[in-house]
Amino acid sequence: MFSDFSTYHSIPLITVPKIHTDLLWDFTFLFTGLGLVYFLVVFFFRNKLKKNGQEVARRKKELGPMISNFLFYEEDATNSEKVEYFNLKLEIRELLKDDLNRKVLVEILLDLQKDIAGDASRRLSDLYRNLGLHLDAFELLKSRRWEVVSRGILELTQLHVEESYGFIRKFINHKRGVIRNQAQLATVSLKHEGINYFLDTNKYQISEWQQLKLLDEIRNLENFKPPRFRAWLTSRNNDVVVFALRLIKFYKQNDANASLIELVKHRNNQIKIEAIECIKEFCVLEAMDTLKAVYGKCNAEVKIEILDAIGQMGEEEDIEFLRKAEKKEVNFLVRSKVISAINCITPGTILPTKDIISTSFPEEEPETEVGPPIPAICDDRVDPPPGDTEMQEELIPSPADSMKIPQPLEVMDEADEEAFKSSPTGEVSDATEEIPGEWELLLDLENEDTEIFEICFMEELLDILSEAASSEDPAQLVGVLPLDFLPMVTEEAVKQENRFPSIPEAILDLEVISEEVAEDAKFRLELDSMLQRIRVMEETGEVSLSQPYGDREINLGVIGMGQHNEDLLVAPADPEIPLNSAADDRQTIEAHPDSTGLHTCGPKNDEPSGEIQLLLPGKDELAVQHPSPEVFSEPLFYLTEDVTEITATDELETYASPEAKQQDMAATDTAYLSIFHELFRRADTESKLILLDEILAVGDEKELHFLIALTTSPNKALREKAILLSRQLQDIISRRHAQNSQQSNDEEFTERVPEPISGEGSTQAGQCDSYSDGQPVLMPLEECYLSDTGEPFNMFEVEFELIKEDPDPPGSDGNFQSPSHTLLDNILSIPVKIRDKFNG
Amino acid sequence: MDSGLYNVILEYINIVFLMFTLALFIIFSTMGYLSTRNSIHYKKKNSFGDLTRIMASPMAPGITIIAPAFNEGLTIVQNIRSLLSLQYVNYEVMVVNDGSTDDTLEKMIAAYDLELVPREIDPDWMSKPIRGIYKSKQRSFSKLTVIDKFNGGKSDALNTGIHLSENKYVGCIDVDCLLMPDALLHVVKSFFQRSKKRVIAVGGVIRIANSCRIAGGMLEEIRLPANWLARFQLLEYTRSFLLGRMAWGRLDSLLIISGAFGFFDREIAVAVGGYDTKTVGEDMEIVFRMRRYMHDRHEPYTIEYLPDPLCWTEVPETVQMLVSQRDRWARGNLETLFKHKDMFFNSKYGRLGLLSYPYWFFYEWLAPILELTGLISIVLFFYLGILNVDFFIAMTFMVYTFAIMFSFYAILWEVYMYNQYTRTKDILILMIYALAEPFVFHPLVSYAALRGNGKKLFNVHSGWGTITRRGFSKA
Repeated sequence: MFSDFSTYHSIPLITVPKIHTDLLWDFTFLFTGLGLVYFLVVFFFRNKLKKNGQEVARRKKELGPMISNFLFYEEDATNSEKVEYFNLKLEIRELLKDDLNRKVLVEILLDLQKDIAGDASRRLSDLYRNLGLHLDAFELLKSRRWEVVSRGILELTQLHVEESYGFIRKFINHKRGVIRNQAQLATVSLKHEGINYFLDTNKYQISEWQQLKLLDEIRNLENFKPPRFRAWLTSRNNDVVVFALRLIKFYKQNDANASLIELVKHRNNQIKIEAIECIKEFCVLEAMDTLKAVYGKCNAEVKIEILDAIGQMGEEEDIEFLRKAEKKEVNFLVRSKVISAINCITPGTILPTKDIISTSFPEEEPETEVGPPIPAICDDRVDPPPGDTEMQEELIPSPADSMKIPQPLEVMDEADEEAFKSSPTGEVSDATEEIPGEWELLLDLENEDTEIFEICFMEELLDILSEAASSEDPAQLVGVLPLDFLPMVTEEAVKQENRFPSIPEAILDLEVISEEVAEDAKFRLELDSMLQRIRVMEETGEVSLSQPYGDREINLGVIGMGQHNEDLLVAPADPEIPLNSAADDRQTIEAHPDSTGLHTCGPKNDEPSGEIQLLLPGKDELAVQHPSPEVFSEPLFYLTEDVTEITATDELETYASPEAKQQDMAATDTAYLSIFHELFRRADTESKLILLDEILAVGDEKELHFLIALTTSPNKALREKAILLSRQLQDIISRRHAQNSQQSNDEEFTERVPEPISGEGSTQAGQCDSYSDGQPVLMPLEECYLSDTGEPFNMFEVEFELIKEDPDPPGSDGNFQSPSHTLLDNILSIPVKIRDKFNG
Repeated sequence: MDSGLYNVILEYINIVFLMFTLALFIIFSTMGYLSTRNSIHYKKKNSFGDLTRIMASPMAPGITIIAPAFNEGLTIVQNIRSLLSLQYVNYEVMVVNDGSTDDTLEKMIAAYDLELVPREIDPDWMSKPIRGIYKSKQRSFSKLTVIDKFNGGKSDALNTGIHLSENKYVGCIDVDCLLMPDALLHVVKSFFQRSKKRVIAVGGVIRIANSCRIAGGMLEEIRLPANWLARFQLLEYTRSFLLGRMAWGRLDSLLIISGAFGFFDREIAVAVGGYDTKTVGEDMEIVFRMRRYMHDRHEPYTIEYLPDPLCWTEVPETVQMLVSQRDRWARGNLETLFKHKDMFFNSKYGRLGLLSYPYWFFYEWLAPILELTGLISIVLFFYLGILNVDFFIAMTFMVYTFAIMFSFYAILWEVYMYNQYTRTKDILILMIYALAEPFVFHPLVSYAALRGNGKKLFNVHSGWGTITRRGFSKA
């Protein structure tokens, strides 16, 4: 009824809008369709990508070798190669009519460009231009699409098309960032003056990334002479200023100090920071006042930079400023930097205070633990003051501590340590013991020394060889052993070996002058090798170290050791100074005072105290004091090896026993040349017997002497076996000699020298083996060649010809190589020789 | 109640659901469009130039990679070795041992020859006490720093690392993530390439490493995960990272950076106080705060997003672990949104307040609740006999086809951009999983989200939970 009278109509708000279900189904179909399309497109894309990849790979495979042929074509090629080259060129031009081929070819060239440099790179660039591909790239520059233009710029830049410089540099202020950035990179890399143009005309901001890439381009330019970048410190573009500052720092242009100081006052924090970096780099002391003046207004980052600069350049009068800054500063990092700066200027001014337990050292608790590390305020550059060394060392945790969870800190202060040191027990606490252990562990001094020595030794030897090879002065070729890196041996060092009672005191009466070498096993080995070599020379008779040089003989430094002492007296000023006295087996090494090389000096008759010295060039010398001649009845070989190599007392005793001495004395001159000698010294009886089994296979005269020496061995088994083997070896050797003499009569020698150049038994440095009248003659290497040509000797131009090796080396005949050619070579070749010996 | 009014209410409920769904379609379609544009632009822009040339530049900024480790003894040594082999000159790897109860620290000390080093620490910095800072004695491991501290959770560990870092940028990653060798170069480029805006953070895609072949710290072969749950997650990640975040990145409204791969401007991160240790959604929360910090100071800034596959990680392979993870994410989401509720439709924060925040509110937090409501309504209406069956079926099919279409689009974009799953079979499997996802995976995720929200709303105490990783060797 109300409805009949009502003036109200139904409320539209609650009239629910009709939802057409069909619309929902329409959407459903739409989405289904789209889903199907995506499904198909996924596989379409995959197939397309795969196909494209395969096609490009195929064409690359086809074009790649062609490009290689082009790149490595030489103008002086043969006619057939030239014909092939031109045919190839025609073929490529034909291929380039296809767009995909052009694209692939450019890809190949760009890939190659990344891997080559120099002339090959220039050829690649020429090829790119010759094929007209650069014209395509120029076309790309006209495109309206930013990525296409960028690609064109990149292509022209990477292939160094300098003609494009003018076209590309117009883009350096392009509105599209990508084009702009690419053009900037191209501008600075295509021409050296590009950087000037860029810095002059750039209007836009330069992102950090862009600066990084620009710097990368610039520093890879060949023969680039950077302009004075201070010119751009006045640019209105802050990024240009920042970049110029970075370049100033990179190229270390320290001619802009005034500008740098002004820029510290700049509003831009980045400019401030870069300017301070430069100030630090160039140590601009006059900037100190400015730095202090602007400090208060800077943010934390700039403050830290300023404090770093003050710490680096500051002096004691700046401490007051830093003290004030420390009081005012609330920022933890900045305050830490202030303290760091103070400690940099005056190390140790501010010491750690946190968690420090300051107590006097209690005697009843001698052990002190080192807990977690004390915070270190100073940075690495701070050198601890002498007075603080102990404290600082204590702060360093021991390796053991580093492996466990740190305990509360307990550190022994100086007073504690003093008290402890003066304690009746005299024991060192754990803390003090651990610290040197830590350092030793960290530095590994012993190993490091050995390693350093090895490196130095080998470097020196190689230097000597190279100097000898390159020296124009023949006198310097030989006998020059700048072994000044060697430590000097003095008495004290060897005194440590006195625990071996059987060694005569006089032998052990050695001392190290400046550096201990007793612990340096490597050095000992090397020194032994050298001395052994000298001993070899001694064994083989007189070693003349002189060579004719004009009208005079030049002393060559190292003197043979096979001479009697009487020879020393005969000609003390003579360059040839024989050293060996075979009569009493005394070894003396004496240096000639005029010689520039390795000098060996021994006791002259008027110097009975006796001293074996290896005088080294310069101020250093290797001096080995030896006892009086009568005490020094053993070969020098024993002197050095016994002292340095024997480590076990029982071995030493055995070796120093009368039987051993007798055995070695019987072996006399050549026994020790045998490799078995060295092996026997370290072998037990059983091993010796096994070694003896091998001696027939490898033995020669040296081993024969060695066996003869063994026949007096106190060991019955050894003695009997030695007697048996010596007979057998003797037979073998005599058979071998017979064969050799037969062969030598038939042999043609590949080279002959005009004339022997030295007297009997004397040899020269750098000599080569020659033969005169069927007899081996040794002469200097340079003489072999210079005498014919008259040209300056150049070791590297020597044309070698391999000849059959003489079964009897010159050394075994009493002649011997001069030291510069053979001594060092022999030192270096000892391991090879040993190996060869083992290998038979 | 009047049956007419009752019908009206029912109809309006239908309309609300329809509008919500249509809005979702529109947003997703827009996101698809934006991400497409962004991806194409990114691809073109990065198609030329050689990043590795910059690797050793003297101007290369310092980066500290912070990797919190808690009971990672099984894989920590290999993980660190992988981190130490990145292609970059100026970086530090800072592993924060967050009070591990296993042998994590001991293994690190032994493997990398570590020793304690002295270092003063800001007493005002709020984080759990540090037991020791270790550096390697070997020069080859000089990039490594290990911090041993009392347990305080991932956020606390990251904060410690941020505080102790001395580099301009810090990267917060999961220690078991595998970073591609050139990852840092991409990150530096992202930080450095802007000249007008300050880049305060860089985030990236997280890729799924389950079943991939990894040797020598390098990803040797990318394979489709063998586990069904991991496959669903792969699909979800592809959709989310390649379409969702790319789109938000295009709008400069990205509100989340994955905790597994996030890099920050250290100065800003420290200025905002680092990670919030009271939330489990710390990765989202810190981005909110950093953005607000910059907004409040009216400083031009941005957050960059890297779509390149630079970070690979292992995802849960069991339902229990997955639910636990998603539960935590939901709680973190709710905590963050609640903490920053003043941004909701606040024009002061521009797109953040008007677009990003509402999206997160409605479609990340509210959606599972609405889904549950919808499900209950359907059951109830069906029971009451008032269910509009035609509408229900049409609506269900529409939503389903849209979901499939969107997943297919994500797969298409993956193929176009990176084409990492080279076998056709893998793509087909992914598509089949896309068809099954709305019925299998989505309910699981929704359930986990509801559980997380429930825990938070009813104040049920729950922490991070534990995820047991099967682990992939990176050495």
